[in-house]
Amino acid sequence: MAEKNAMLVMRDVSKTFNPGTVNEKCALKNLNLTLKQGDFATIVGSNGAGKSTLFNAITGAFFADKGLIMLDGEDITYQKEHVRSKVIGHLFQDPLKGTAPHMTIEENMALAYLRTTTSKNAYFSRIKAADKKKFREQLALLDMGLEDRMKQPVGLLSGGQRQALTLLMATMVTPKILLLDEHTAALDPATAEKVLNLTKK
Amino acid sequence: MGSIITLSIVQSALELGFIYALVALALFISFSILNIADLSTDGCFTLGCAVCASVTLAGHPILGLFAAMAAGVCSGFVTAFLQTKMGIQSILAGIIVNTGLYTINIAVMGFASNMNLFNCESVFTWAKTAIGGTWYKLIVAALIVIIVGVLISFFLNTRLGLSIRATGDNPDMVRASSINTSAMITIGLCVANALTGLSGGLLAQYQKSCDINLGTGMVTIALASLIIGESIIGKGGMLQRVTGVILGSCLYRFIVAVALRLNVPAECLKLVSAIIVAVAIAFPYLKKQMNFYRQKRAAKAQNQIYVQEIMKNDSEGGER
Repeated sequence: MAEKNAMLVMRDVSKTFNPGTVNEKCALKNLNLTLKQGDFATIVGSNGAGKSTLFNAITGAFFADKGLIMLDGEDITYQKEHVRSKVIGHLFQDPLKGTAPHMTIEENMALAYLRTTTSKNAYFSRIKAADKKKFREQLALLDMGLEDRMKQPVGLLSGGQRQALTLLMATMVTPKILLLDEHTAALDPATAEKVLNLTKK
Repeated sequence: MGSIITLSIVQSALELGFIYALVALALFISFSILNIADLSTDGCFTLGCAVCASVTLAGHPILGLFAAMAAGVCSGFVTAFLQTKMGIQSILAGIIVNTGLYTINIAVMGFASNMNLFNCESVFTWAKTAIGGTWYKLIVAALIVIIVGVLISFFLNTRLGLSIRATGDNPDMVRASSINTSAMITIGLCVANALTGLSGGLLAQYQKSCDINLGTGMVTIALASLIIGESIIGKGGMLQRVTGVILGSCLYRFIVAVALRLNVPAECLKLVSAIIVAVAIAFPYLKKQMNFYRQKRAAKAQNQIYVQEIMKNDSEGGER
């Protein structure tokens, strides 16, 4: 079967919001999707077509009403969001959603880096000088001058800078799947291009 | 001012300031960092006090302080459990636990509404024989609070601490970073309530008694200390903010001591604390508003000239 080595498989996935009320909205209906490793898929649709719903069903922000979602051979349909997000990179439409505003750039990156370690002892470790150096190098790739502002709270950055940082954080650990939900929608064209170039990298 | 503030007043204000600083630190974790208003603080404080008093009465003062912390952890765990697993709103969860704790506190004190620890050993009586003088109480309280403060600021900079801070800051991001928000809320509330319990335990040994109504209004007092501390020190690193909270607690005790010294009757103390809290919280906002009005008034004259110019140009344009 070809689907055996598929990365993401969705079978008959449905999601209805506010079932049984006048506001009932069937966002996903018997959706089937198969993506192989290395595939790059773009989903196009008008506002309210259900693109974000599809993403949220994959990330686990809510559970699908019915159907199966499989990631790399593992059934994740009813897996909790924080468990499955270990291998899913996700960029929100809203640039403010991906980072913690009152924490410094360094601390935000350390949080993303937390995903790499699995040992329980890591919980009580602090940010090491070697980690800081690594964060600095990665920030320099963005070419936004953020590497000199590591101690500043993320809330002071612009939306574009925050989105670029979020992208960096999402890809710190190579995710099995990277979901980009109109991640340049709220950015100016120049910054959007920068973020898109980063996406290509 | 020399007559109002004497050395003994400074001393007792500092002693109480340090002891109550632990509750302020607890609220720093639950309110400032986790963004949860934990209303079980009142009951939890009395719980720590009652548990510590019982164990101290049995002759184990040090064990009593740890037992008070353990009791606080249990209380915090129940509050967190109601929030994260039972879907009860955080404020309601706190109120429910607070109500339930009243009965538990009475039970811990042997179904009495107060307990006495006179003629009974405590960390303070030990310090009296070991250190002597008049400052032994302050030394004990300060030592414990400084150790706790350093540990807390260290903890909040570990990966676990960062995860807890991010949970209060941006839960969406935290879930997307594969961190369990429920677990972080639970750990945060357990640590916070452990501090509240320890504070109650220390107070029991300090004043050699425990009363069922001891914790009433503790949330307000701790919040006042927290806000005062944050408005003097401001935002910064964790150690800096923790220091600010401890300073705020001491400062609050000074204000109360001065109020008492100015012959404010003891019955009015709760009103005084409520007013202090309201003023402390409103002050930064009012200052901002004042600056805005000043800016508005300064701009008014210049803008009037602009408006006249625009009107003049318009009428000239119409004639052309």
